[in-house]
Amino acid sequence: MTEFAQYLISGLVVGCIYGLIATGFTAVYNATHIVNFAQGESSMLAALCAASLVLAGAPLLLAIAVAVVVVGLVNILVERLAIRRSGTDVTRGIIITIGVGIVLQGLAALVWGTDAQPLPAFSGPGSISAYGVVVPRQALWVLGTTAVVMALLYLFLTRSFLGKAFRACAMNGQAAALMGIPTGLMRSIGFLLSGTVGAVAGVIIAPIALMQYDSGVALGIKGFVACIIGGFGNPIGAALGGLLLGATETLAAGYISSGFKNAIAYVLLLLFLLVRPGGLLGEFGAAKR
Amino acid sequence: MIDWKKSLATLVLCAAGTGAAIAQEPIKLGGLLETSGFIASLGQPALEGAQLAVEQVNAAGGINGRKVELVNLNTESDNTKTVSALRRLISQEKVVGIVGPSSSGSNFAIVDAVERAKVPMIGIGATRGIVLPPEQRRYSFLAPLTDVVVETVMLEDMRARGITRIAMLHSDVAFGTSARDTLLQLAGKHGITVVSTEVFGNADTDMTPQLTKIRGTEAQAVVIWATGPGLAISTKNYRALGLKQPLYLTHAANDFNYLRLAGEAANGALLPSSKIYVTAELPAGDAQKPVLEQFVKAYEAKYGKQPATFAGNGYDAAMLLMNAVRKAGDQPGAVRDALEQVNNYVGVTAVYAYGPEDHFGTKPESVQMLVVDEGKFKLAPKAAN
Repeated sequence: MTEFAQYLISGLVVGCIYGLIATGFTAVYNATHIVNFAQGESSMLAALCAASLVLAGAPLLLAIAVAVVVVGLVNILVERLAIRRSGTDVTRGIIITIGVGIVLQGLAALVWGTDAQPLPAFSGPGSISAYGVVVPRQALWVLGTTAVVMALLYLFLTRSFLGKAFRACAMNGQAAALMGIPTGLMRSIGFLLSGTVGAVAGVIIAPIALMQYDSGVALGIKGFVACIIGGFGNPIGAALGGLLLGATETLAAGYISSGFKNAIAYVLLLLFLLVRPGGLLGEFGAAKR
Repeated sequence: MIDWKKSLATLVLCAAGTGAAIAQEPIKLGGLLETSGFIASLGQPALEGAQLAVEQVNAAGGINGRKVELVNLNTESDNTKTVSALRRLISQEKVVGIVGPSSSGSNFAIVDAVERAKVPMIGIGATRGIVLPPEQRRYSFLAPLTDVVVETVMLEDMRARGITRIAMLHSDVAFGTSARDTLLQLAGKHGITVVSTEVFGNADTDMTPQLTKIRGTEAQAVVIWATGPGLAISTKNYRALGLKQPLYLTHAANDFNYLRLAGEAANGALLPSSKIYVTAELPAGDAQKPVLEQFVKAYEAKYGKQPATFAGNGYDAAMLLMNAVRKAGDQPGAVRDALEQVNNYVGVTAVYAYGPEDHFGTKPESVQMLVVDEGKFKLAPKAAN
């Protein structure tokens, strides 16, 4: 029982990160129908930025905030300079994001080198243990931050005017444009959200997982799988998909063999694509139609 | 438009002109050291060590009046790219010998091609299997301490501390799996039982599940064998889970970036290592002491930082090759034969002795147990028997 609880906790922590990254995917997807393959790079970039700022003497919280804002701005720039110029062609957009990912990775390798960079844990390296289950303090930060970010995102999308306009764009871009919603701005917001959420995921996991220039790729792939599981384009589905993926992976590693960990992720992906291509909750657009 | 093309052409001609002006062509050494990818934290210092060796030899007049040139190709820690880079070094650059990759996997990927090309390679991978069996791996040699050598010293240390049951956590690449196989073979001879082995993916970011399993066993000590961030993450997970047993690490942990990444979690960890970090603590009679002092001083002067173990490996490999060339000339076959006759060469990593049946070179006598103390490597206190 202790073992099970330990596996579950570790799984949920990893799952939170997958979930946040998956939510980032949905933000861009909903605004543009582009799958942003540079999604993982946002997390990597934010973690490395924060690590450098801390090394330069900035207080931890300030460093994290600056890193998240910078990465959000980088994403807006990417949309403005690279994506918007390609028009509304989705395939072209996807290929551009692959290119952007490679460029960001290369830049990170130039700036930070190829070694991993440490970021201190937010409230010290200790851990809390109860009934034999050990939870590192940073894991609590991950769980808490994810819950807060998800709640804010939910409120933004359902309660605010801007959020409603954003969702209208996701459901039917043309109709939204005819109603006077500036779709260009909504695309920028989509990228800003994706960058910010990805950046938050990056900085909260960095003290546990350590980030280096190529860490974004693996995170991006797992986030993408979480999206498929949850239903592409559905933010709640993305979060659920992430948690499910994280927990399954860790339980499989614990009870079957750690060699199966990655295999489980891809078996889940295949199962969902074959049996339930719409994911757990179905596609956002389709569900609302 | 025309202008820059002209100047480019002139430049090329000039370059060709100076090339012809040199009476003798330089002796070319090949390098397959990784400066990016997962093993870059080992490959980069190894390259710096090799470059230092070449620079020292050139500053002393080269080999028989000829300069030495090191041509290193970055393989991004990718096995396939290592194979094509090797082909380029042999067919285009015509190197007399190769300072091999740091990744054990990449070493395995090229050993057969090295054999066919009949060009000697000194690998920086720490896995014995690379040069086994000796009759089929005539052109492959190793420079670092191998897993058998370091695990022998580590198991002896455990026995001295009264430890009889251990568990091992290792990465799923050749470096980790080969060390596990070796440990399973060796442990019995030292009266130690391996009660559990767990594996993790080299790019994994959380090893808590595997360590939770180990926590449930009766192991009196835990061994972690991996390279790169995975090693630091598992050290952190180990401390976070509150495991109290002594923690033994691979010799790949003697890397400053490991200390930086693992932080406080590394304190108290024991590891078998070369003597490079404890040069000052060595007794005056130690044969390696003067070599180490010279190397550490020269490295610090050139790069402005302390040398890592892998820098010593790269330095030794390049020096061994250049000494062989000095002795036997610039034909790869003759260089190989000279390498096999190396006996009692005092290097940075170890005192080397190769032979027809022994392409490992290093011996357990060159290994010291270290302990991480307040973020620094120190000689581990001798265990009371």
